[in-house]
Amino acid sequence: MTHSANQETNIVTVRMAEDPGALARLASTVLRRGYFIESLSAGREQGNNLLRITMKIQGDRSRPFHLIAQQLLKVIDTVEVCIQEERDGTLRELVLARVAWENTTKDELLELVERYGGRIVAVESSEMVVEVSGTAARIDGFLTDLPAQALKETARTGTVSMFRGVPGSEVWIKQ
Amino acid sequence: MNGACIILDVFRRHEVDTIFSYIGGSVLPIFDELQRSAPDIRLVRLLHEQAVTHAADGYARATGKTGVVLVTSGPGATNTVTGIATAYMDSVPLVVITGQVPTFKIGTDAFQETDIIGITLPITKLNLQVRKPEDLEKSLHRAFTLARSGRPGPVLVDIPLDIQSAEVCFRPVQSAPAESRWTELEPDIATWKQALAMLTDSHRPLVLSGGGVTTAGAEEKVNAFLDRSGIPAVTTLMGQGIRPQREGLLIGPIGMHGTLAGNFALQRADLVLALGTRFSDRILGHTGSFASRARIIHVDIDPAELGKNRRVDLAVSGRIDRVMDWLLREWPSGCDFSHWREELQAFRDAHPGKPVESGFLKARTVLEAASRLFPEDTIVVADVGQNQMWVSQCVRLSRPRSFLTSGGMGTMGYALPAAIGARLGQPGRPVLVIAGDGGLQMNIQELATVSARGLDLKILLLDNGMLGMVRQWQQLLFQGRYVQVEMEGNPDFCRVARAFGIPAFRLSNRRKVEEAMRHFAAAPGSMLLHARIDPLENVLPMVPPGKPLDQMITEMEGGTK
Repeated sequence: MTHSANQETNIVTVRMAEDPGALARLASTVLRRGYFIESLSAGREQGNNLLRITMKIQGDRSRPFHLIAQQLLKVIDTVEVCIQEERDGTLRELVLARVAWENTTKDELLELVERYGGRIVAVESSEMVVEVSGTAARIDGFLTDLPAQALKETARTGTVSMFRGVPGSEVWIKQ
Repeated sequence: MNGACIILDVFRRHEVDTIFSYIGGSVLPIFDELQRSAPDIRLVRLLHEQAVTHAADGYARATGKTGVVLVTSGPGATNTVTGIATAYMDSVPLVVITGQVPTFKIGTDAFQETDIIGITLPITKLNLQVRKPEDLEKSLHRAFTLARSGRPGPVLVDIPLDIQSAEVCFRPVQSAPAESRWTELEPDIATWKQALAMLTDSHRPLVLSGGGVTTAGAEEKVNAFLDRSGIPAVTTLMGQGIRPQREGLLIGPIGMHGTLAGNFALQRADLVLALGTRFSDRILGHTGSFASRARIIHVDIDPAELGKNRRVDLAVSGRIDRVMDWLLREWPSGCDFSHWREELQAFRDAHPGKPVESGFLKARTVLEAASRLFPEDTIVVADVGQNQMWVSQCVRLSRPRSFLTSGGMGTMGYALPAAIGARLGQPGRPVLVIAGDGGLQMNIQELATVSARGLDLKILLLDNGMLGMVRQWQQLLFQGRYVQVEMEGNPDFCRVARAFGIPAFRLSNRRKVEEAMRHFAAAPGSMLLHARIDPLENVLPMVPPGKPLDQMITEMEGGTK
C-alpha cells in the first residue's frame, strides 16, 4: 500500500493474554476501525505468559491516531498498548531469502551478504538461504541490491520494536 | 452433573428470570434441563431468531437488566446477527448463547455448523466458544459480567453439544469472578473541576443528553442538575428520557430530524456539556460546523468515544451519574443564564411548529393524539424510518426507559419483537408499538407471539404504502425518481391481525382521529390500529445530509407520485 499525505504509520505494540482468539480479535478491531495493518509480528514474552504483538498500522490523519489504542484496550485479552512513531523505537525485522547461485556469481553474493551483516543459513547445489535482519529500510536495500534473477523467494517477519530506555519515551496505556 | 446443569446454575446466580429462545438440535440438553429443573425461568419462544434477539434487547432496554438469548447452531445462530448488531450499536447488554455441533465435529462442515464466532467478532464485546467442560462456568460468568460492565453490549457464548451433556465434577465458584477490566475508574476530580469552571464561565451553556444517560440510569440526576443550574438541554434521538421540572429547559432533540429550536440552541451555545453520546453522523450534520461557537465537554464511560467523531475540548471518562452528583454538589449559586434562556424562548416563539395541513390523514396528527391519550408511563417502541422520526418529533418521551428504538443500526422490523420483550419485562406499563408498513412486515409473524402469550400490546401501524424515508430521500436528492419504494403487495393489515387473533380497525379519516385513538388507548388486550396516512408526507424539518445543523429545510418541493 502506498502512502499518501493524509496517512500516517505508527508502531503499535500490544501485550495481551494468550487466548486462541486473541490475535483474530485484535486484527479485526484494527481493520474495522478503518486502519490498515502493514505488518504484524507476534510471539511470547519471556516469563509472563503474555503475547507481545507488534504492528505497523497505517491510519488516516483526519482522525486522532491514538484512539486505536482505546479500541484495542476494549479487546478482552489486551493488557496494555503502546504507540510509537517509527523514529522513536529500535525497530528490527528479519528476512529469509532464497537465492540462486553459480560459481560465477558466488563471490559477489557473499560480499553482498557480508555488507548487510547477513549470514548464509543453508546451501544447496544451486541455491542458498540467506538471513538478514535490520530495519525495514535495510532489508529493502538488501533485496534491491540482490540481482533480480537470483532472488527466488523471500519471507519477512514484520517489524518488532524495543524502546531505547529513554525515560518518558515509553508510554504504555493500560485499561 | 452435566454441562446443562452448570449453565442453569450460572443463570440462577445472575438472576435470569426470562430467556428468549428458539429451540433446535444443538441445544436440546439445555432445554431439557430447563424444562426439568427450572420452572421458575420463563422461556419465551418467538418465531424467528432475529425477533428472539430483538425481544431480549427490548426486555433489556425496558428493564435495565441483561437480555438472554438461547438459540441453536447454524441458521439459528446466524439469524441472531442483525439483533446482535442492533444491540451492539445501542450498547444494550445481551448474553447470546448459541448451540454448536459437538467439539469433535467442529471444522468438518457438519450439519448446521457455522463459525458464529468469526461472524459475530465485530459486533460483540466478546465472543467465545467453550471447548472444555471445565471452562463452561467461567466463560458464562465472564459473559454475564462483561455484558453489563463499563459500556454495556452483547456477549456471545458458543457451546458445543457435547459440552452441554458432558458429566463433570462441578464445584461452583463462591462468587462470580470479577472481570479485571472495566473496573470503576477513579473519580478524576481535577478534570471535573475544570468542567465546572468551564460551565460557570460560560454564557450560553447547553447540556446534550445522549443514550448513555439512560444506560447509566442517570436521568433523574441530569434533571436535578438542569433544574439547579438553569442550563437548558437538548437531546439526541436516544437521549430523550430526561425531563427537568423548570419550564422551558428542555429544548428538544437535535440532528438531522431534530427540532429547529434544538439545532438553533446547539449552534448558538458557547459551551456544550455532552453526556453519553457518540456524536453520530445523524447528530453532527456537517462535522466542521457542528456547535462551531462552543467549547465541548464530553463525558462518556468509553474512553474510545472521546474525540472519535468530534474534537472535544475537555474529555471526561467516567460514569455520568457520578459526574452529575459531583457537579450538583459543587454547583455555586449566582450563575445566571436567564438571558440565554430568554433568547431560546424568543426563538421558539418566533418559530412555532407548522400547523398540520388538511387533506389526507397525516402521521403527525395521529401521533400527537397518541401522545395525548396514552398514559404518561407508556413505553413507546418505534420502528425505523419516517415513523421513528415522527415519534421523536411528536410524542412525549421524557420518562426513563420510555422510548425504545434501533438508533445506531436503524433496523427495520425491530419494534414488534422488541415491544414483546418490553411488555414481558414491564408488565405494569402500557406498551405502544409504532411501525410503518415496511418495518412491520419484516417481523409480522410475531403477531402470533403476541396472540399466543395474550400480551397487551397496542400496535399503531402508520401505513403510507411506501418505504417513506427512502422515498423522501429520492424526492430530495434524486428529483423524485422513485425506485423500489412503493409497497404494492401490502395485505389488508386488519385482516392479517385478525387472522392472528388480534382485534384491529382502520383509520383514514382525519376527523375521526381523536375518537379512534381514545378507543385504541383504552381497549383491553392487544389491538392493531391501521392508520392509512398520506403517502407523500415528509419528515420535516430536516437537515440535508452533510449540511450544518442550522440549515434545516422546512418545506420540500415536488412530492408528487
